[in-house]
Order: sequence, then C-alpha cells, then structure tokens
Amino acid sequence: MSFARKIKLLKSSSFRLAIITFSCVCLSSSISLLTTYLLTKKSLVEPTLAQVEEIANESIAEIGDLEFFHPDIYPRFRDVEPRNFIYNDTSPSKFTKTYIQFFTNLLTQSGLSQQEKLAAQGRLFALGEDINLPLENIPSILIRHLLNNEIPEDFHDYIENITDERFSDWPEYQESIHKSPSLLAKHYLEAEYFLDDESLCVEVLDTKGNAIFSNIEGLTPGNLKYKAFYTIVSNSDPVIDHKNGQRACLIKASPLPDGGILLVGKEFTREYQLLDTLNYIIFYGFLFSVIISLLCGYLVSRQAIKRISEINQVCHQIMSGDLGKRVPFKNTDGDYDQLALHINSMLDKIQQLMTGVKQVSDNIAHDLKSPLTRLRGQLELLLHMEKPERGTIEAVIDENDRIIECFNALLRISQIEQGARRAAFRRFSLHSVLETLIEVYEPTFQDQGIQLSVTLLDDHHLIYGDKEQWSQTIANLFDNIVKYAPGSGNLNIKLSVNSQKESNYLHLQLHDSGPGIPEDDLQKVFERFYRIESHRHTKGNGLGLSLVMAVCNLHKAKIRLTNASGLLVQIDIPTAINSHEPATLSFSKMETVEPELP
Amino acid sequence: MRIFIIEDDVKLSHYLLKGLSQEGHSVELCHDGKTGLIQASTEPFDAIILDRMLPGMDGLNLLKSLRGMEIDTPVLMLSNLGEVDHRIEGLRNGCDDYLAKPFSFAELLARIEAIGKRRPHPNAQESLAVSDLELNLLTRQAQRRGRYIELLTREFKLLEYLMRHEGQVVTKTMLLEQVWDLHFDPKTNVVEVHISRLRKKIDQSLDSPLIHTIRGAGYVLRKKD
Repeated sequence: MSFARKIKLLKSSSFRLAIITFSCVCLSSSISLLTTYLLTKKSLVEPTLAQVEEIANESIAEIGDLEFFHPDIYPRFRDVEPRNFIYNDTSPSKFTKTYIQFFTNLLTQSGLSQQEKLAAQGRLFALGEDINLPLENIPSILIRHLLNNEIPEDFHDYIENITDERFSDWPEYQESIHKSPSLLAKHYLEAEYFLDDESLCVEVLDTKGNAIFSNIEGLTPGNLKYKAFYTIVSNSDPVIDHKNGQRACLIKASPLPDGGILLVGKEFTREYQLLDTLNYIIFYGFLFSVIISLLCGYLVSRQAIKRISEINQVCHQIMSGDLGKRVPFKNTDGDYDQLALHINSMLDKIQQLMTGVKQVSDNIAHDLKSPLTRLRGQLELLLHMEKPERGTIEAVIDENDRIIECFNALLRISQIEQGARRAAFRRFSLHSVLETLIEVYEPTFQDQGIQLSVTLLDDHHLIYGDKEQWSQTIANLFDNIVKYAPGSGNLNIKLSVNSQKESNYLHLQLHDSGPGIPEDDLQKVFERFYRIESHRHTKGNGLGLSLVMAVCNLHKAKIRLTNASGLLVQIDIPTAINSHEPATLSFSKMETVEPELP
Repeated sequence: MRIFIIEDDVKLSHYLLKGLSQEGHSVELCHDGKTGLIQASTEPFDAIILDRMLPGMDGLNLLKSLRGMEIDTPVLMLSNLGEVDHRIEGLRNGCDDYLAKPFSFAELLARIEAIGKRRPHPNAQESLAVSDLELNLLTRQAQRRGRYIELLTREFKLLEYLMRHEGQVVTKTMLLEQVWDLHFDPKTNVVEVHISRLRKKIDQSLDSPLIHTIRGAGYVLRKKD
C-alpha cells in the first residue's frame, strides 16, 4: 500500500483552516482583553496622576514663591540650641525669659541680615514681645517649628499657650529667594503636610540625588526620570501596611529649579493590585485560548480528515479494480454525506455503464461468433470443392453482409446515443415521413395478410430532429410487424396531437393484432442483441428496437410497448416550437412533395 | 465509360479496376488527392470515383476545387463515414452519389453507371417509351401493346424511374433512395414486393417480360433480346 492512507494532520488543509480560524478568534479576544486592560489602566491612573500632578505643580509654584526661614539657611543660628538656655533654668517662664533675652541681645548686634533679623524678631514676637515688624513676611508655621526645635519639650505646652495668642492672626511671609528651593521644599512640605497625610507620599532629592526628606521607604531613585509619567513603587511603611503586604503609590517626579527632584505620589495599592490581576488574567487567558484553539482545530478537522481518508481509501480500492466498493456514509445529511452519496451514485452509474459496455461487447463477441463460424465453415467447404458452387459463394457473401450490417447497426446506435448527429437536426413533418413509409410498406403488409387502417392528422405538425433517423425508426417497427405478426389481420396506424400542459406531443400509435411480446420481455426487447426466445431461429440481429430506443431518447420522445390483443406501440414525440408558422408549413409541404420528383 | 478512380486503398482500387474493366469500362487509378485533382481537371472522364479520405488532399476539398473549376464530371463519393450528415455534406458540395464502405461491387457498378450516363431533363418529355411499353407522364397512365394499365401513384413513380434508367441495373437501395428518398436498408423485402406487383401489371401473361431481376444486384428494365 504505497498509497497514503492517512492524511498527515499538519498537512491537512482543514486542520490548518480550523487552526487559523480559532487563532483569529483567540487573537481578537486577546486584543479586546488587552484594550480593556489598557483602558482600565488609563481610567485608574489618569485621575490619580492628575491629582498628584496638581499637588506637585502647586508645591513647585509655592516653593518658588515662598521664602522660609530656617536655621540651616542662616548658619549663625546654628548655635541656638536648647542646651544654650537650659543650664539651671527649670521653669518655662524662666527659660523663656532667658531665651527672649538672648534674641533681644542678638538684635542689638550689628551685622545681622534682614532675614536673620526677621527670624529673631519672629521668635520674639511669638513669645509675646512687642516687636514691630512686617509680620506678613514670616510663616507662622516656620516660627513654631523653630521654637519647637530650640525649646525643650517640657516647655512646649507653655510656649504653645503663648504662641497661640500671637499667631492667631499671623499672615504668611512672602518674599522670593531662590537660594535653595530643595531645602525650602522640604521645609515647606514639612510645614504644609506635616507628613501626616498617609495617602500622600513625598520625597525630596537634593542635587546630588540624596534624599533629604522622605516618607517613602524602599524607593530607588536611580530609575526615575524627570519625564516619568508615573512610577509604581513599593512602600513598606509599617504604619499604613496593616496587612503586611506591599503598598504601591503613583509618583510624579518634578524637577526643582536648583536641580533637585520633588517626588509627589498618592497611594495606588488597590488599583495596582487590580491591574496586576487583570494582567495575570490576560496572560493566562491568552495561553489558555491558544491551547483551546489547537485542541478545537484538531477535534474539528479530525472528523473531516477521517472522512476524507475513508473516501481516499475507497477510491484506492476502486482504482485497484474493486468497482463494487462504496464510500460509507452516516445518514447525517452533512456535506460529507452528500459527497459520499454523489460519489456512490457516480460509481453506480459508472458500474452500470461498465456492465452495459461489458454486456454489449460480450454480446457482440457472442453474436458474431456464430456467423463468423458459419462463414469459416462455408469458406472451408469452398476450399475443398473441386468446382465452387455459386450458391455457396452467395451464402458466404450473405453471411458477410449480415456481419457488416450488424456492425453498421451497432455503430449507428452508438452514434445516436452519443448525440453526435444533432447537426442533421431539422424541422420536418413526421406526417409526410409516415406517408412515404406506408406507401413503401403497404404492399408488403398486404402480402403478409395485414390490413392497414391509417388515421393520420390532416394537420402537418412539425417535429425537430433527424428525419432519416425517424424514417429508420418507423421502418424498423414496420419490419418487426411484418416479421413477427404476419397474417394477423389488422394494423392500426394513428398519428394525433396530444396537448399536455404547455407542450404539444405528436402521438404515434401502431397497433397490430399479432402475438405481442411476453410481459417479461417488454423492457428487455430494447436491449442490444436481445431476442425473444421464440424468435431466435428467425433472421435478425436484435438491434432494431435498440435503435428505436436510441432515437427516441435522442429526441426526448417516450416509447411504450403494451400488449392489448396484439402489440401496441405508442410514441410521444415533442413537436417543434412555432410549428404553425406559415414559413415552416410551406417548408413541410416542400418536404412532402420532394420525394415525388426524384 | 471512362472512369477515374481516386482511392488510396491500393487493394480496393485494383479490385475496382478489375471489376469495372470486366464490365467494359476503361479505368484509370490514382492514389493521392493532389495528382488526382490535376488529372481529373485535365483529362476528360465520364465519371469519377472519389474516396473521401485521401492523403495529400481531402476528398471533399478535391470535389470543391473541381466544381470550382466548373468541371461537372459526375462524381461518386466513397466513404467509411457512411452517416447521413456526411452524405448530405458530400451531396451539397457537388457529388452526384454517395456510397458507404463496405459496399457490394454490383451496387457500385449500378450507381456509377447511373450517374455516368447523361439523361435528358425530366420535364422536357411528356411520355416515356421502352419497347412496346409507354408511360404518359401527364396522365400517369401506362400502355402496353394497346392495353391500358392502371397504376397506383407508387407504381407510377417506380415505373417512371425504371424507364428513365432503361437498360441500367438499379439496386434496391437506389430505388429506395431515388423514388422515396429513404436512406436505409429495410430488413424485409419491401422493394421486391413492389417490383413483383409492378411486374404483374406490366409483364402480365406476356412472353416478353421487360422487368428483369439481376441476381445479387438489382433490377433492370429492358427489352430482352
């Protein structure tokens, strides 16, 4: 079995098709999932980011606008440490007094800058001293910060009481200096947010990239870019992480004028987790759908491959000579069943034709064998004769003629069956053909004791076809009557018009009163070489009715044989269209007249 | 008659040559189309037997060229293609008769003699006469030795044809073709029946019959010498 019985799965077009289809479905669903993911991400990130950005921008603007006092900016104040005042002052009032004195003395010193002066004055003002200064320029919160740093904690409550009064209507200090915005930002943020807001993450990096202020842990600033839209960072602040998980925040990095970086972010943990889950789902969904598509492709195409393999196998068996094989089918009325059904009916037809051809060739061989044997015998006889008899030579010629005639008849039938002779199709009057034939056959019928009664239509209906074929056909039928129904009495020949629905038929009826045909043989008589048992001894080749049948088939005419006290032959021949046109009528007349002028 | 045979089957043409020569005709042979055409157009022949399938030039084209040169020598075409289409095609292109192979020599002889012998135009005559038989073409009545013979239409047509071909052998198929325009071989003896009926009427109880049967060939109407 060199023939490929199994189709390779990967080479099967249906498998490929199925895989491609399913892959397309997968791809489209993946694309839609991805789009959903991106849209969700966008809708989650954008508002938060906008908020963060707003805060960052506000902060940057305010950092640029504001001026803070701070010991770090004014190094001379570094010396002002709580320890300078504590010594032995154990009461807040006493300490405060010393503190006030220190700054009052400081103010009397020359060489203080305006800023330094303001800072000192601010402290004094906060502690209730009557000082005339542009209060609107000193941020109250900064002053509080300074005091909290410089005064021991024990005295904070005491100081608070004093400062609360003083600060109740302290306007904000405003003047722009841009010496160190990063530092300012730190203080600003310290002051502004007090690092209390848990949902806000802040970090300030100085120009060297060191964090000078931060409430974020674990942030790695190395991968941060100024242009970064947002960054997810982990935050393991134990205060806010009660679930021992990592926290995420969305951070916006903004450059500060001196080269430092301000990072402002908002907590983003829940959204981050959601996006993360979505990401996970999409990845595994895609993987899953790829597997599913492969599996479905296999399952879908497996059936097709199986059926095609079956068909191929049957075809192979048929090719190797077993024409009896048929494609199995499962009665599901599916497309493969249709295919199987068609192949089977094709094979049936082929087998039928093959059988027909075989039978015909068998018949030819058989039917020619006897005349050829006879011919050979007669020739041998002639060979041994001293003086050839004329009768024997004539018999030889007769036998030879019969064989030739048989071949001619066969050839003619097969030509008619192939429809090869449609070129000779014309319109003609069957009526006139019949008249001529009756004229030719009438004396013979009379000699055989058959009385004709002829009823022909006066109307010359035309039929479209081969006139000579029809002459031959009717002559064959007449010959049969002469041969097989001699002395029987009557022959009714009737030609009439039958109108059925839209089309007209010429109805030819030949009714003899002979012995008829045995019922069993009624259909078989049309087969080639078929001869009724009782006629086998008579002259004839069994091809006459085969030709009649072939002509009828070619002209779409229907022939029926019935036994009705004799044989009744009925032929329905479709009439030509427009048979009543004057032109064609005159044509038919011409045809009728023609034979009279040879 | 001077007969020209253009046939590529050498055996068949020699057989025809022999047969026709025995019948007293002078015969010339040619085995291919081109030389056949040249010879046929330059030499006077009474009839040409032309095969349809020829090397060099197709028989049908040869015929067309011949008729194109206004040479109307009667042509009998032979062919393996014995089908009606081809016969009609041949007749349309100017051949005078058509015979399908295989044929009997008698048939060929009868046909070649029929086309080779020129006959007067049918309408120019009012009556035909052979020996003591007379046929009036207008009244369609026959008369023999003063005795009127009533003829049926079919008998008249048959007799007219036989009388026009007086002395020539006409075969059964020729009769069917020429009288009734039927182109097939009947399996029954229809022609014999017609002839015997006609014979009864014409030669009835007379010692000098006019219609004679030629064994293996056909019939001839002539005065017996």
